[in-house]
Amino acid sequence: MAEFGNFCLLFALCLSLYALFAALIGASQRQPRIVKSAEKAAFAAAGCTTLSFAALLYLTFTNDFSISHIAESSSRDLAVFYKIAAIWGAHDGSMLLWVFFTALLCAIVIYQNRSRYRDMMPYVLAVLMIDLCFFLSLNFFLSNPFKQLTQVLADGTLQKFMPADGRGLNPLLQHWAMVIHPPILYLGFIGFLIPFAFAIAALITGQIGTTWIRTTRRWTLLTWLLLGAGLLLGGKWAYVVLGWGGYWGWDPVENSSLMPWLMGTAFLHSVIIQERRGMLKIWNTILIMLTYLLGVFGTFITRSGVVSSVHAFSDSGLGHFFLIYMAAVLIASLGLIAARRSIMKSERQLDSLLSRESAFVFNNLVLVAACLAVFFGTMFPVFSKWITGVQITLDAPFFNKINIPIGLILLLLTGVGPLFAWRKTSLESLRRAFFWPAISAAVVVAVVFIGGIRHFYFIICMALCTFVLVSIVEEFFKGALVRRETKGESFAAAVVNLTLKNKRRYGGYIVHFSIVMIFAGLAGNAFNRETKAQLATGQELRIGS
Amino acid sequence: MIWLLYAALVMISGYFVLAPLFGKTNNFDLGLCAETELDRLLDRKAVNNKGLNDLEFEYKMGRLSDLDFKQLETSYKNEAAIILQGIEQLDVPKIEKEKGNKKGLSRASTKCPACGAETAPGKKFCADCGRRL
Amino acid sequence: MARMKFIVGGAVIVAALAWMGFVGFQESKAYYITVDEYASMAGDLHGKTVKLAGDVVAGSIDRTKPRMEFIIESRTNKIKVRYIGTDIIPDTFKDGSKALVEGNIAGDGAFEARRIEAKCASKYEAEYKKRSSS
Repeated sequence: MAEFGNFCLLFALCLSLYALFAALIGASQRQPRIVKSAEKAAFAAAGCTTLSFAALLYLTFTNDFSISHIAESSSRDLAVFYKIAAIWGAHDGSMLLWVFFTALLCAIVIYQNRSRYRDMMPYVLAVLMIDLCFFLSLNFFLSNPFKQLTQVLADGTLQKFMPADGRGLNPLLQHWAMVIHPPILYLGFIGFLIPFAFAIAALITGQIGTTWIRTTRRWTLLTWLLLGAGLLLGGKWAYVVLGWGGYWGWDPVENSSLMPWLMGTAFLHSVIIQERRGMLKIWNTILIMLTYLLGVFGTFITRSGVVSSVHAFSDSGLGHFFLIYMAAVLIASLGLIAARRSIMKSERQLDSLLSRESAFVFNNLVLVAACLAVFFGTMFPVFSKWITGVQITLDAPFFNKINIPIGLILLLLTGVGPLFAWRKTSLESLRRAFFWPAISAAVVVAVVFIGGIRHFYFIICMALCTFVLVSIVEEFFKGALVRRETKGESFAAAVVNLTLKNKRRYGGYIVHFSIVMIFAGLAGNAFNRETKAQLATGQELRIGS
Repeated sequence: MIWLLYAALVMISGYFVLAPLFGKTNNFDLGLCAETELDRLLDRKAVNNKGLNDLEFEYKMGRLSDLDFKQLETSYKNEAAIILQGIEQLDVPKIEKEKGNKKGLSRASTKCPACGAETAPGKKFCADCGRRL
Repeated sequence: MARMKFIVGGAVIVAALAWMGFVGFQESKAYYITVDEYASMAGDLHGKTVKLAGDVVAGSIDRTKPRMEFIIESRTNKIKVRYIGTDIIPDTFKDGSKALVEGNIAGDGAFEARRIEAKCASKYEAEYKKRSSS
């Protein structure tokens, strides 16, 4: 079975290489048959990785401890539920899961678009296959999950060897959130490959309109959602299992999954401007490229041991390959953008500072700034080692200091952004739009202040949360009123139809609402008191004042 | 035994992958689908219309002052005029333009009611969400 | 005009954030070094926060003193560490475990640690690796 799994993995690699070259040849020769064959090869590669994954699953369930990976992460007494988790409990198997997901996603995307965008798809396919080939070859050659244990006999010959039992899954990982967290997070990383592939294909074919954005919008949203869910699940696990007393510790691995999320959030917002106003074309392409690369960077951080972390797999020696791959992708994409810059000019200029566009642009700047700050803090030990020869680490205080104000600015923009009109807004219009949200925020500040709380950030955060909440409620309320008048629907029906007829806008408000909830929760941290002490019998300890 | 399995796997996938190479010529041409200037203008027209609709809605919601509304409405209408002029001036046969116009219209009218994705005219189901059209 | 305002606004935000970052940086930066590196540069590190990584010397943990003391070593050097923090020492902190101590150099040349992190000795894994790779 192990040989079979291994063979499938190798064969999938061959198929994806074939798909890559066939797609490129088919596109340059304008031969639909070759492209079709390339697409079939991508499907076959997905099938083979699935077989390979199934083989590993089978080996885990049959307790075949002659496989190094299974001996390391599973054991006989492990519950069925955790046996599945054991597959991604160690480095090699988790790479197989990654590859399996990548291949499946590629196949789904290709199938979805089998009769659309015929000119773009060969290039989309090629980009997808480059990614798949890279991870497949890493998995097959450098972190093979089917590697068998061997031991050296007294006379120097090698012999296969099977321990009586495996080492078992790390007890820290035996938690329900850890069973679903890695797959969800992986999908959240991998999914950004799809908009990235379409962006590159759009650049190559010169179709820098909004087709690539529109067609991948749902993939981007789904990926963004999964990545966010993965982050929250990771927080839940850290809160319950790790003894940090917290859900977030600005650990390198946590940071590396936050970065693509921040960048992806920026991308989700800024494409709206490209669709509506034809601006920021280059910026959007760069954003999605960085989002994709940060996803790869996340796996690099987790697997290379470049920065020490509680979540990281132990050093696997893959670091150089990741660096080379990321550098190659970065250079190739930037080169492509540079070559196409003449047709990527903005169709318009920013009209006014008080406009929806400029709120979006600020939102982008702030999100990218947050991402840069996290990147800088995470990689500082590495940079300082290069420059001064000594590793200098940065801890939570650094990240908090810089990210709390950034978070509050973002929250502010969440509230005021949707209140601006496109193009320009006069102060008179702003006064109307800001009236109720601002009054409510002021009331909340007064109540909190009278309540005796003097914590600056907490008060600001509560005020902004109220502002955003009220503006969202007002948006739904007034929109429904207009609808009730023009369409003669009942108020309840109007609210529902309003949301369904303009999902992008009102769906966005629902997401904003949940972001407000998260911020309100984070603000509670201001009152977190944590004291650890050893007490003798009868001794008392007073916590807080 | 295991070699038989490998051979079977390779042969099945080989057939699956290579068969299209020798099949009938496919009915699509790689060169035909490229985005044209006309497509771009029609796209801009649709987006501009959407902007105007949103503006009217927001005005009714009482979020805009009368002056803002008047100014922005004019600017949207001016833009619409410029786009229409652009379409007129295109060096494309008149039939193409009208076809394009129709394409623009049909494009707007064959948006899937459930998910908003564009669907090719004449399809019975939405390719994105599967809803019957 | 709008463009100008926009650039100014952006610059103000970036500058404010950079300042916050700098303050945070000063507050939380810590040198992360091994005992060997520490021995060769001890003079430069006076008054600076240091994270020191090494292995706990077996049998060196002395809990009889008011402040717990122990010795950590890396390949060639050893250093005495005095624990002055208030947190509970983690269970994984034992003879032979890998420890990361955070603190300063004290007047008497010992290292005063405010925080201790410990990892289990990863011998098990190393043994396994050796077996599978050889």
